[in-house]
Amino acid sequence: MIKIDKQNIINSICEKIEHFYKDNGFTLIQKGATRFERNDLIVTWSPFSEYIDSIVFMPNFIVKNVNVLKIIKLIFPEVIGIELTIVRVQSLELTEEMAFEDYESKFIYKDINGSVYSYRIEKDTPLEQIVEDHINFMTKVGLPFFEKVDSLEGINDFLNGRILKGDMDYFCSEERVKELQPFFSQREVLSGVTCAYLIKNPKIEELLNRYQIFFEGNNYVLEPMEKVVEYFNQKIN
Amino acid sequence: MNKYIQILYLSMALGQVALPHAVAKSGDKDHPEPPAKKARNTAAPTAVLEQQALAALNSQLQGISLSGSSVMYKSSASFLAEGSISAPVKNTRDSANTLFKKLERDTNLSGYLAGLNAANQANALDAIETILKRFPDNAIHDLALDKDLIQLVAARKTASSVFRNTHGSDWEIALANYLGLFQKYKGKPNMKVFLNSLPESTSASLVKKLTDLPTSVITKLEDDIASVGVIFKANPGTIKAWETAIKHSKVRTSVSALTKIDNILSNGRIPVAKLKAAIDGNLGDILNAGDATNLGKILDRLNLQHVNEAHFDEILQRLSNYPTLKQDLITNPQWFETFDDILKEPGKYWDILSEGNLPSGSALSQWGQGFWWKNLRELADQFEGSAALTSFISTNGIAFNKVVQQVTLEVNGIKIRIDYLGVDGAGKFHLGDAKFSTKPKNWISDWLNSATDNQTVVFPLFQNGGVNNIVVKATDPAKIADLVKIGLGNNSTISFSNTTLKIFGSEANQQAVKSVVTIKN
Repeated sequence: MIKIDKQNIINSICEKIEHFYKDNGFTLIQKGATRFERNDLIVTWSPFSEYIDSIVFMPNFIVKNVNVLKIIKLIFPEVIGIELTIVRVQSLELTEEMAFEDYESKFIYKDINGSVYSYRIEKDTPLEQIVEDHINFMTKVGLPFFEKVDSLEGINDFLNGRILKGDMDYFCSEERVKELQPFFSQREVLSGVTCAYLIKNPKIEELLNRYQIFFEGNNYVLEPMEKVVEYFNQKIN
Repeated sequence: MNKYIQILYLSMALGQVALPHAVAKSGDKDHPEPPAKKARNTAAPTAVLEQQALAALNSQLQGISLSGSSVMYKSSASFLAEGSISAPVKNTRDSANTLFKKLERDTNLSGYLAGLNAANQANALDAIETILKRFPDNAIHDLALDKDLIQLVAARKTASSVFRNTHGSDWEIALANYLGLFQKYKGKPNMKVFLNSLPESTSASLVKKLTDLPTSVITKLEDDIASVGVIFKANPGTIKAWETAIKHSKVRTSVSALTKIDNILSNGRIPVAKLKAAIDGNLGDILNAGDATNLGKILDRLNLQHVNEAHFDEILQRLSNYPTLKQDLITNPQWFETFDDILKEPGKYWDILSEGNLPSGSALSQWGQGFWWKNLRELADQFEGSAALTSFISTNGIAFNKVVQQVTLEVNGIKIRIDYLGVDGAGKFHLGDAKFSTKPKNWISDWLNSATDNQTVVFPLFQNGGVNNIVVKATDPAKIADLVKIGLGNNSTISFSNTTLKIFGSEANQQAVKSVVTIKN
């Protein structure tokens, strides 16, 4: 058995990949979870799972829009993690969300239930291929995703744009609901609604109505959404 | 006036010089002169033989078509018109001059030439000319004066119907390759016998492979050629196999082993350089230790479909990392198949041991046990990170960004680690644990047997509603940051009523989920 040195692996990866992130304006931060940050945008490189002789990475993409964060934290001061505007992982789900078709990587496991895009690293695993693959993902999907959500308007478009797309029949169709379901939950709704208010989205009423329909009976989503609506209504009045 | 010009004048004065009787009467151009006839002629007085050879050459120059660019030698008269001699003609004439000088130095060759029939003589001269053209000056002397070589080359030219058909339009290049081959093995009597025995239809591939062999192995080839020459002729590919096994005499002189190594090389699953390095090293030591039967069995094993480059690397890595294992296989080469069985199917390790083919105290047995554990661990880890994970996500309708793997929980004060903790769109927490087995299992009835000690206490509490509190425990900042994604942190509590718990059991020794056991919905 060759016990793996987790920190050494993380350091080696960061060393190899840092130039790419640096070229794209990100800074490496190794305090706490290892991550690359550019303003409100974060890519985490922490182990997804750890074993005796291997560790598995699945990089996360986190958006922490300061304007959204301030309001959400104000409304929900005690709720852990609610302040994160958007969280995504390196996955085929994100490629689908970014409309990047036929993305391929030898690090993707697929079966009838879905897929897992991860990097399993043992002590002697050559890191070059992993770094190359991650840079490929970042270039094709990760960075375009960040460009898209790097502003309130962008977040509004990324989240609310999909909810507002098409007429009501289309939105309520079984197929459309199935398409949207994997990508929308409490975080996306709260961030989406907050953004819509902040940019004064003229379709805010229709947006709220559609979220109500989409999450009908789901108090986990609708109750905090109502609190956000109340907050802005009070502010306006 | 040089001798060459003298000959030309002589030729012009006499017309075509009459060849000696023995030469003139033989006209079967498809077959070289029988040796007995040559011997009679080479015994003739030197001066006469030289004269005969020169005369024969003159005849060649005047009337017999030479190959390739020398075909312009049709009339001796043309040589007198110095001003009109074209460059190729001049070159050929220069070559002929050199030839004459050599003929003057070697009366035996002159005698040999004189002893050939007209067709063979013409071809011999042509061959000499080819030699002169193809090789640098320092090589000409040795080659041109080797009458056996001239004989061989002449024979090939004479038997043009076979030789040309074998080598196509590039037969002159093939001829030059033959000459290079002879030069390479000059001074190696066994190789000379072998080369002389090659049929006219010898493939260019064989010639090339023998020519390409590095000089450093020539001495060994000289030693081995009597035993392996036969397989080289039948299958030139075995020359590469011989070179691959160069370090071990038992392997490289076994026709059967060479055929098997050639098969391994031909199937392309193992790169040539890697196989050679392996045979030069630990694998070769094991191969050389076995008798012919075991040698054959090991090589047969390496030729099986599952032995690709990655698997071969595994074999080499084990042999390198575990010297006692290597020694075990050197002492007992018949165990190599068992060794490979364990590498290929670690799950069968205990079955292999129970069958009694492997003494339990042996190094191979001990290594096998360690490997079995490592492999089992790897398979279980991979199952947890792939098939079981997709099943957890799909079964519970959770997105990847709402899942944290390997979370420690304190349930009623008892610590357990679960493989997955995720939250769905309605805020419900789903707990999941992956269980891998090499043996077929009925997970529905046996799930508890696969649980850890603490899980054995805690999981039934989920089943019968006995859970009072669930607290998340995390100290690693990276894990805490991960938990934040799903709204949790260290010491966060999860309401029991808002949870599910499922076990994802594997198919026997496979990366696939056989059963999802719902402990709590």
